[in-house]
Formats: sequence, structure tokens, C-alpha cells
Amino acid sequence: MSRRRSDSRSLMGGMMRIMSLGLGCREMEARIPDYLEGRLSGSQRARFLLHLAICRVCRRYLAAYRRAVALARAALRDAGDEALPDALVRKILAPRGRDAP
Amino acid sequence: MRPPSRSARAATTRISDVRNRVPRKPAVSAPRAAGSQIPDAEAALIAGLRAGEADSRERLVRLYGGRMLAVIRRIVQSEDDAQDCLQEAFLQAFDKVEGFEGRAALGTWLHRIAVNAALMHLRGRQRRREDPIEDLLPQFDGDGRRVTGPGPELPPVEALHEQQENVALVRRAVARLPESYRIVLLLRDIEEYTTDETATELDLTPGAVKVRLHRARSALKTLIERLLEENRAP
Repeated sequence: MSRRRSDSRSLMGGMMRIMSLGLGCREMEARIPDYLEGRLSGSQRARFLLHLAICRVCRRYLAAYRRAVALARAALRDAGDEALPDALVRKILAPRGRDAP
Repeated sequence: MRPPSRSARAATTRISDVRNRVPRKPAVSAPRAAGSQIPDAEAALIAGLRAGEADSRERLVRLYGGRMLAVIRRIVQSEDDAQDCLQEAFLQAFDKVEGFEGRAALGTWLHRIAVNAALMHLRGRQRRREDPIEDLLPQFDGDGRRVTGPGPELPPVEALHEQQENVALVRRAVARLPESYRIVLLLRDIEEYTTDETATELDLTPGAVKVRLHRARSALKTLIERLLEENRAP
């Protein structure tokens, strides 16, 4: 049963690779940075998008990858901007080194 | 502190002494947009700083300190170290304000000083052994097919701040990245440095920055998914 499933996945993978003109999931992974920066050539981009169109796993992966980056931006950029405590302001302004009396 | 835009940061005045502590390649310094001038309030503050006025120094610290501390905290994870870095950053700013040419906004200039102070702190610290990142990266079978199963759905970005536990979860995930990857992700995706600027800051090649950034993002996705799964576990 599992052998049959494995054969079936292998066959499916081969068909997907042929349909996307040789671009497999591993190659798609390697091209994500260039895809996101718009650095793929026309044919590379077409193959990348074709792979995405036929591979649901990669489609989900790329969506989650992009969302993870957007979440990090949203979670980290809004941090801070509060007033410094007076004690820290005094520490920063305290004479030090050559300015010290 | 929201990072300055790339164009504004490109106009940042070089702070040669800050950078001279670590050998660096020269960075590009573009002029402030044609016709733009230093706003009056900023010019008065800079004049006071140049004259060494205590009031101006305090004003600068109170105006920009909170935002600078937030930037430093993202890079340096200990609060005590972050405060030391902030102090160091302001000392640098007071020392170098004479050379501030106003080609970038004061906030942009201070943002760069804060990032540098934090990075210098990390460089000066004894290097810790990092956990390998491979376990967090996508896996492929012998035919090159992705074998990583779908993880839990990540929360929508628009609703992130409606659930503060998710904000904390994402920050925890970033904090768990191996440091050499976390710093690249912070500089590129949060502080919005370009690939070349990041490479210069970290003494890496642009190619190495790209590889690390991609791995850091992949690992971040996995870490967020794992933390979501942990939270959902009974």
C-alpha cells in the first residue's frame, strides 16, 4: 500500500517536473529570493510561476514564508517609542571619560 | 523606532569614527533631496549640541532616546546591554555632531549610530556557539520534492496587534533564530538596510547576505509554526 503510494507520488512528481519545464521544489526554493526581488528573467519567472501553479505544497510554503516576514515586520517595528526613564536619561547625560570633572 | 526609508538612509552622513573601530568598506553617501533644508527646530538643536549645551543634549536624548533604545533592543537582547549601547550611541552622537552635515534627517543619522553601537557590542562580545539552522529549513526527498508538511496557518498580519500573545510569539520566534541569521534578518527586513549595506556592516559578501536572509526567513516561518503548535497543544 505504502509502496504504491510512494510510486504514485514519484510519478506525480515526475509529471509535475515535466510540466514545469524541469523546475522542481528544490530549485523553486533556491529561486525564492530572486523571485521576491524581481530578479528572475522572463523565462525563469514563468517556470517559477508554473511550478507554483501546479505544486500546492510550494504554494502554501511561499505564502507562509511571506507572511512570516510580514509578521516579523509588524511585531518588531511597532516596538518602542516610549519615553526613556529619567534615571536612564541622567545616566546617559552623566559626565564620562574626558568630560568627567 | 520605525526605520528611516531607504532613500533617507542612503543620505545618511558617514560617521567615520564610529565605523573606524572595525575595518569597513566605504559606503555610499547620497545628498539630501535637492532643495530640502534642515528644519529650523532641528537646526537649533544641532547648534546647541555643537555648542555643548547641556539642555540640547538632554533634549536630544529625550526626543530620540526611546526610539533608539527600541532599535538597539532588537539587536542586543539583554536590557542592561541595550542601555549601555544607548549610552555609547549618544556619546558617539555628541562627539560627532560637529561633522553632521545635515544631508540626512537627524533621526536617520541617530538610527544608524544606534545600529552601529549595537553591532559593535555584539562584535566585542565573546562569540557563542550557535545551534545549527538546518533543522528549521525545508526538507526535500531524493527527487527534490518538498516533504515538509503544511504547518498551522500563520495569523493574518492585519490582525496581529489585536492579539498581543501573537505579537509576543513572533518576537520570541525572531529571538530564537541563530544570531548570525537573526542579525541579517533584522538589518534587511526590519531596519531596511539594502543587501550591500548589510554586507558592509557585517563584513560579508552580498551573496552571503542573500543566502543568510533566505535561510533566516525560512527558519523564522518554521519557528513561528512550532510556537503556534506548542500554544495549541493541550
